[in-house]
Amino acid sequence: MTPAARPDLILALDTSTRRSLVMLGHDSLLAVSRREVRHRHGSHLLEQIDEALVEAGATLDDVTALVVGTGPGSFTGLRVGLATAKTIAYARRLPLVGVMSLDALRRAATSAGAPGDAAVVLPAGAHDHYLALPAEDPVLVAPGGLSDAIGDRVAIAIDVDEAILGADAARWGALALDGLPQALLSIARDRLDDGDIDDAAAMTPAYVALPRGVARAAEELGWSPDLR
Amino acid sequence: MSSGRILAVESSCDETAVAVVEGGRRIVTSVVASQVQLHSATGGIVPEVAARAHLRWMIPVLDEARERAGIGDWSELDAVAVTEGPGLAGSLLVGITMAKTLAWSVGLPLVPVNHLEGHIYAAWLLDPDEDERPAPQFPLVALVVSGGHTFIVEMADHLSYRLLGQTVDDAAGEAFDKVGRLLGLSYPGGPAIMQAATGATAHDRRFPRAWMGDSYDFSFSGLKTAARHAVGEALGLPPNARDLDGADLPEAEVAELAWAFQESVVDVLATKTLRAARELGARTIIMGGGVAANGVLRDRIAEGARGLGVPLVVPRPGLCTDNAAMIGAAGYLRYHAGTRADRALDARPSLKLAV
Ligand SMILES: [Zn+2]
Repeated sequence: MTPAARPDLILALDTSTRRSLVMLGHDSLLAVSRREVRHRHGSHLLEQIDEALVEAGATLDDVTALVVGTGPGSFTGLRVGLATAKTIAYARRLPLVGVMSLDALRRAATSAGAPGDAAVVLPAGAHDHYLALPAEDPVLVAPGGLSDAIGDRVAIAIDVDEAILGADAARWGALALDGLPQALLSIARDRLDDGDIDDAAAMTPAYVALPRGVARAAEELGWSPDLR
Repeated sequence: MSSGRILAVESSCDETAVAVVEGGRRIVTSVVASQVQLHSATGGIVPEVAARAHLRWMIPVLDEARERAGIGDWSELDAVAVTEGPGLAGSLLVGITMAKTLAWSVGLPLVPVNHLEGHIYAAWLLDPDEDERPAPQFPLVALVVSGGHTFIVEMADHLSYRLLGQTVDDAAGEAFDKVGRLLGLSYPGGPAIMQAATGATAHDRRFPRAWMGDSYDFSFSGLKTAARHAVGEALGLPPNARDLDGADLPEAEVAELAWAFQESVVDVLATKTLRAARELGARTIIMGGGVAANGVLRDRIAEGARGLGVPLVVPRPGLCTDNAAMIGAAGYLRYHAGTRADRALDARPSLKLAV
């Protein structure tokens, strides 16, 4: 089949926030499914993909590429999002692109008018936060360190209590979440056009920090098939 | 056409495993990516580390199993089976997500399996080149003993479980790990203690046994305390001293303590299992779980089983510890019994086998 006869259809997932987000599109968005799930992305994601496929009048056979938000964010959510995307990519032999969710959220917020140097802030566990500035790796900020780290920049607060960063930050956060599907899709489309595909099997979330009390990343350790 | 082939996924603790099993018994391939190396650095399992490793290695393990089983098309399989619990929530979630996404995206039925029944069904497994052997006969008594579980069940038939007794505190394997650490031995404690105990010659130490009346229940916390006191005493420290380091003990002393500890655990496990088999008229005794790989325990129960005239089935060590082939064996029966899960399947970290 020629590419003209079968246009690209991108399936994108993001589970880094308290929402489970599924979208389908190519040049524009065709279907979006968004649910408030807190930490129960696993019970919703496949159902949402089915829902989005129906809305777009497509089946999984029509999907030509996959995109997944790699966080940082909810560990549980990201495990579900990445495990799902990696498995579909493997089982259906589809290219997979991982996009840092923070980058997509920033792009969505700036498209909505937020300043380019704004700080994106997300909860990291119960007390800490992830903070990202443009063109820098996200960092983990301990309680009390947030206002210093943000300085006099505008903050884009995702899932952060309004009492901590104020109403403006929350409003930018809501706009960023609204524009996330479009932003994720356009970043991914650029990557796919450039042939910038990830190794689906090896892909891991953007963790930012190692688990407490651990000196070495699990991902660094190789494996050999132990036949039992 | 049915191939009788089940692809099984197991990720409840610290082993990422995928297997293909035919007809519920014959292993086509069984691949495990072990995290022992990872957890020996921290002296035990850190759940977040385990979950991250599962996510990193799940697809390479699946691909290895697919390739070794020679699966060209997913439709060569009857179903995908997966451990739904019990286990670590984050670890279970990764295997479940992979299994259900695979089943969903290639159109195969999804079969949820209890990890504990998997340990029992390991007794049905045949290696790829192994001769046929009769299946275990019912009614049977099964002892499952691992780092997370210690219990005895009776099975009157397939997939039917009556709990006879279980640990009221630590699992036996957990006690091995803790006492192993106390004795300055490496992680995991089971194999290290068994190895150290072979050096014992005096055999004059005795640790207590918790018989729990005439129930089939177990308790290992008192034994752990006794081991702690014995180590403190051997180090010449006052009672209740903290920060014991068995690495300072002479090797011969470690050997005697390891032997006495193992003897106490083995004595209780073997005695109760054999009593259950005798009282219930079992036609088979099954052992499963990582601690079942302990040769001293296996020999003790084998000796008693011979005395009773009841066959004992203990899977080889690689099938006693966590693996996916056992999930494939149990999954085959569940599949034919009509057990199915849908795409909303979630982890059940505290799932029970029976009440
Ligand atoms: Zn186990």
